[in-house]
Amino acid sequence: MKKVLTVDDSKVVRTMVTRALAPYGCQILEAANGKEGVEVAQRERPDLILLDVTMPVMDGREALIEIRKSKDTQATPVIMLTAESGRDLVMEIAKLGVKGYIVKPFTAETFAAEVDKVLGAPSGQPAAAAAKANPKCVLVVDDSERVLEMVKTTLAQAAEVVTALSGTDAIARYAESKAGLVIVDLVMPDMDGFATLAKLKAQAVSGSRFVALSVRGDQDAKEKAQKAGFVAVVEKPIQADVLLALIQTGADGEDGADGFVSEEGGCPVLVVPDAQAKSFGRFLPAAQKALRALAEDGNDRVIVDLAAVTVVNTALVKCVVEVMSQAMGMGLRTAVCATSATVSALKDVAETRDAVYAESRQAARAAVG
Amino acid sequence: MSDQLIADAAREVLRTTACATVSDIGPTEAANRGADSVIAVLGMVGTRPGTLVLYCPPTIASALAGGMLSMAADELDEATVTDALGELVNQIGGTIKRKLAASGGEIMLAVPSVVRGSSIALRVMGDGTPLAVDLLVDGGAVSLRYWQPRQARG
Repeated sequence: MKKVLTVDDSKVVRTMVTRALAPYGCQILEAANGKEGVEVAQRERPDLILLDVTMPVMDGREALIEIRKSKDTQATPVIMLTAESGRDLVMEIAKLGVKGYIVKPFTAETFAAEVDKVLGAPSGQPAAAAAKANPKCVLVVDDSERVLEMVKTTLAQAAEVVTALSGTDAIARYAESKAGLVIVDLVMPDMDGFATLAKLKAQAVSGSRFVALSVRGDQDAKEKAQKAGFVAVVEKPIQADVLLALIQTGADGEDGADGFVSEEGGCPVLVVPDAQAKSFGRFLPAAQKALRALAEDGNDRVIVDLAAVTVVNTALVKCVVEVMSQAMGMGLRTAVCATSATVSALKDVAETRDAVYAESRQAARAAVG
Repeated sequence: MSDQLIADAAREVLRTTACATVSDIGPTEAANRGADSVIAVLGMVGTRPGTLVLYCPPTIASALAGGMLSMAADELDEATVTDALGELVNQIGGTIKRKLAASGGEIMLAVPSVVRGSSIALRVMGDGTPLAVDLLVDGGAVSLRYWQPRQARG
């Protein structure tokens, strides 16, 4: 069994990390400061250390130096997990050698993306991780037979539809079908949509997308669904064209394009695809990796190019916010290049209101200096 | 530094880490919060030095801690709630730092401290009126205040 050491002065954070690591089936070791962390690391030789920066007694930077000094731990993979950021810190840490950098607050996806690099896919499910979803199959989970029947009828010509009346039933149906699209009602007896999603994600195969069903106008449920990892929220009563659009989006599949990073007069550019493009789902993980590489290479600026964006929706806003936040966390000055319509729409959203905008890459380059 | 920046950072942290529902609230409504509070304090030094303070009613503090740990609020002991509030103010400070870095601001964070009780008077090494943000979090009023020394403003 692999061992993971979490070093953080907050017991709450160590508990959050322990829960997030549950699918990996590893032994969790804890330390409340850098000094304890170094001692536990040398004694237990963990396979991965998750290390906070700001801690009493000995901070994360000092601890990392000590970990790298010892022949027992000098090669141990370390991922920084911290609210601290900034270009100088990232550069300093990078020189000491770390596998990744997770900035708090972090989402489950961000955490998993970094930890997977060291521990591999969670739950000891290499076969499942390697398996592909069936893009033609849709699994619908709802405690209402009427809703299931409606979806089945609507999608009859477009997809193979599998239904489940409960979360427990859904887990069994998903294991059999490997559905490419899973639509889950948020409100169900026994196991609600969020708990169902968590169970399904623990056994998810590559390519499955999870969409929530929510009562119209329930904004809180929508926000929670998006945070929980649903890629979209469909409101009840369900509109047929919305369901068919979901199927079409998934049917486009993945492409091999790797063109998210470009350059404008020496300034790196992140090219954001349209939220409805087939490559959109791959953009954020690629962007996070690219931003880290840019910071480690000594860059101090980046242009976020939204010229390809035609529709500003929740997914796009979330993506832009995440990219801007990650970039700022890495100490990169940012400017967003977009059409006036996109800029106008983004300025209507609190989270993106104060970004630096320009209508061309050249203007964006001038804006970031 | 602006109240908008503090509000954005707080919303991001409370939603992402504590899975809380967050909306804006008027100062009048915020002023009606009870006297009992959990207060988390974070010192910040550097080009934008100051003190960030998070005021939270005990019930909301427990709800936030529960959101962080996916546990019911009544399952949590006082030490856990205190720890959670310290972590939240630390993450809010870290997010402010990250956002300030975009405009060249460089700050470092101290280790947060948390106190709880009723009729608490908090004296902050600052002067004048702090930047103020009031939010409705999981149905309760949560307030943030940021005190800056006079020479650091501008």
